Parts: sequence; C-alpha cells; structure tokens
Amino acid sequence: MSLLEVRNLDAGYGRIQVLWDVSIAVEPNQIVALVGANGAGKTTLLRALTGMIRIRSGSITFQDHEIAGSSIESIVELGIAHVPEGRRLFMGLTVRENLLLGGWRKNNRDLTRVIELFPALGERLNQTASTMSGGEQQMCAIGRGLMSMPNLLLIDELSLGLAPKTVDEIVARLPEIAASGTAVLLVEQDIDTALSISERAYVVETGRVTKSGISAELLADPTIQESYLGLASG
Amino acid sequence: MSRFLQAAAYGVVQGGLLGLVAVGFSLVWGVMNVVNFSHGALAVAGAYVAWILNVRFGLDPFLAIPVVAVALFAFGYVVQRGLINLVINAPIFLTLLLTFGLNLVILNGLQLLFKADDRTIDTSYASQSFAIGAVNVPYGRLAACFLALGITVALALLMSRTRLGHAIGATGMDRGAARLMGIRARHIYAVTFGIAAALAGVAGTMIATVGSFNPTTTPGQLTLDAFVISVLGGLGNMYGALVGGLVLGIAESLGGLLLTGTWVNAIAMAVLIITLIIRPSGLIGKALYGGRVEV
Repeated sequence: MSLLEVRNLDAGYGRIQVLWDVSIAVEPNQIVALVGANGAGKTTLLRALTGMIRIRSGSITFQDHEIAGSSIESIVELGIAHVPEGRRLFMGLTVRENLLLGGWRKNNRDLTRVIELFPALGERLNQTASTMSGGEQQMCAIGRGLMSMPNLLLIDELSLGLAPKTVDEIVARLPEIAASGTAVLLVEQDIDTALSISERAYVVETGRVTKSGISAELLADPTIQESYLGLASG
Repeated sequence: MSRFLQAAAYGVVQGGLLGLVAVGFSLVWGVMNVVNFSHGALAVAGAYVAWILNVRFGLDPFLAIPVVAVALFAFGYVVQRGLINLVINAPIFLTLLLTFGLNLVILNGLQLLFKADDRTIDTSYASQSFAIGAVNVPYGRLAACFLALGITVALALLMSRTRLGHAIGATGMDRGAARLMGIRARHIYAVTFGIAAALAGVAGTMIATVGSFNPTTTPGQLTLDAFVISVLGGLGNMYGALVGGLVLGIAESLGGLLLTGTWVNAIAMAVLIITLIIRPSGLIGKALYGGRVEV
C-alpha cells in the first residue's frame, strides 16, 4: 500500500478544470518529483492534495484514509505538511514563532530536528522572518512544515527566486528528511535538480501526467532532454 | 485653568475606558476584516448582565466582571461560529450588513426585556472622589480606567506572547497558511470574536458603573467611538486602541469645555480626519496582520 495514492483526479478553480485524470503514488521514505513547465498544474495538484481547492472526481488515499473532500485542517492532522508556493511565512513573526506555529496541531515545541537539519535557522531563531534571505526563508518554511512531524512533506517550487548554490544546499537535505520517515513530494521547475535528487518522477503537461518512472531513467530520456533541458537529441 | 485641568483629567480616565471599548472592535477588524456594527450592542448587553447581578444579588460591578466576560465570550463565540463565519469570505459590505442586522436584533431584544429606560449600576463609591489640587478624581472612574489599561495590556501580551495569540495573528495574516499548520481558522475566528465580545461586555459594565446606559442610544455611540478609535490608533493594534481612546477622550472632554454637547461627535470626526491626513495608517500603525492574504 502506498503512502499516498491519487487515482484519476480531476480538479480546478471554479469552472476551469486544470487537472485531468491525474494518478500518482508516493511510497514511504521516498522522494518523488513533479516536474513540468510553468502552468502545467503542478501547484494545483499539491493544492488539491491538502484540500485547498475542491476536487471534482477521483480519489486521494493517504495512509488508508480517503482524504478527497476533507478540510485542510483534517488532512494536515493526518500527517501531510504543505510548504506552499511563495513560502507564505508569517512575516511579522520570528523564526521561532513560525516554527512553533508549524507544530501547532501536535503541540510540538521541540526545534532540535529542524535546527540539526538547517543549522542556519538555529542562529536566527529570534529574527523576524521578513528580514531573512530567500534561502533562509525557504529553510524556515520547510522547517515549519516538518514541525508537525508529517509522514509526507509537499514542497512547492523549492528553488523559486533562489540562487543555484542556495538551492543545492537545501536540496541536499531532502534525502535526510526522507530517510527519517518523511516522504517528500517535490514540485520543481528546475527539472535537472528535481530528477537528480528524486527516486521517481512524474512529468505534468497541461494538466495531465504524460510520463512517469525512475528519475534517473527520465533524466536520460532523449525527449525530456530535448523539451526541458534544452539539449539537442542524438 | 482649573476647569481645563479638570476636563483633561476627566478626558484621561474616560479615554482609558473608551480604549477598552475599542480594543475588541479593532481586533476583530484587524484579524477578520469584519467591521462589527454590533460591538456597542454587545457592550450594552454586558452592562445589563452586570446590572441584573447587581440589582438581584447585590453583586459589585467589579466583581461581576468575570461573569460578564464569560457570558459575552460564549455569546460571541456562538455568533461567530454559527453566523458570521457563514459569510466570512464575502465582501466586507456583506459582513457589515450582517453585523448591522445583528445590532438591531440585540438592541430590540434588550429593549423588549428591559425597556428603554436609562440605567446605572449604583455603588457606594461612585459618587466619592479625591482631590489633587483643584482637580477632582472620582474613585470609580479611576478604577475603571486602570482596569481598562490592565486588560488592554493583557490582551496585547496575549497576542504577542502566547501560542493562542500567535495563532490568531497568523490566521489574520494568512488564513490559508495558518490552516496548513492545522490551525482551525473557524474556531480561531470564533475565539477572536468571543474575546472582543467579552472585552466589550466588561467595558459596558464599567460605563454602566461610572455613568448611565440605555439600549437605544448607547450602543450606537459606543460603536461610533470604537470605529473612530480603531482607525485613529491603527487597525488591529491593541496599544493603538489605547492611545486612540486617550486622544479621543481628551479631545472630547476639552472640546466640551468650548463647545456645546452636540458638537462632541463632530470633534471625534475632526480628530479622525486630521489624523488620517497626517498618518494614514493610524497613530501607532496597523498591526502585522492588517494586510492579509486569502487562500
């Protein structure tokens, strides 16, 4: 039984349907990437998973619970954390306060796991979130997600607005997160980074999953190299 | 000169009380973007609770405060959970209309139950005062003012120091992100409105002790004061409400020396307009959650 299994999902905003017949699965302790161009529907899929948008049809099973149609709060309580697009930290609050809010539901006040993962945050616990660099903010957003001790962490556009070196630094922590019992579903436009770090991946194009498989194999796939990596085939 | 000092002293103690009237109104506006037109009615409802406890059981109004606070919190929680939450995503005009209707229901309910007579809660100490030089300070008003200051500071500390306060602030800043933390926004909104109603009830009790109240004119006057003070101090800002209250209290009191009574509202509005021209975000500034992001 997969940790997360999405079957034949249709979803969208109001009358506009964005996702068509999407099926994906995430196994425990795995890093799975969702890749594809801007506007393909990757963010929409994550939003559908945590109940932020309404689902039209299909099913979402998480740890044997059917969660399609549940409220955001109850989905989060089951053990999914969502690092949303644009990070959406509570800007006027300190790093510590942001992290503690992440542990709100479980009343988790133990910051050690997050600080071990991102030592830079440990030095900035009393700093206001809005005054930090983009990379530190992303660390704080991921740390905030981990504070709920989730079994699945959704990360939307990890690299958005960050320098490549910072992205590498943060991405390098993902295997550790996965190994410690929190599977990661990563949405990423930078397909090279996403396929290098993940075990499996799904390629999303105009709201449909058009390819899926082992990341290393997808990375070697000539059609993917051509359409996403700008490399000439053959 | 002594008339001036007396008016200033009165303005300060009255201003502290007005700050307490406004602080809950400002909190609800800042966190939920709801302009609560029934705020004054809630204050008067609290005054009636204390009045009944005093008339029936001889309970001192200061001792009645916990009862008033609990009763109004429960009422506020239910109103938000069962009514205002239904339209919380609607444009501000709709929530305005809803709380305006709620205001009418509460007012008419109170009038039906208690008639439209002016009431006051009699205490032995209300008429007593002490003198500092030529200035008379009534004990009751001074105690009410200190209580109002204490409660406002306590609320500000609740918002800045506690888990619940951070959850309220976070929900006000970005409800979608707060819900992703597992914070139940509907519950937090109801708690916020409950707190605001409880504070309004306590303020109403104090007003009933140091002056008089009735169900027809008092609620509207208090809502107007709360509106002016909230904008004056900065939306959602607890200390802003306190400073706004003091400014309004002193301005009205000194203005009352020079002008006849009916001009008091004009003074309040003049203070508001001048402040907004000079400092559009209020005297102290908007709270962090003043600018929000929706899901």
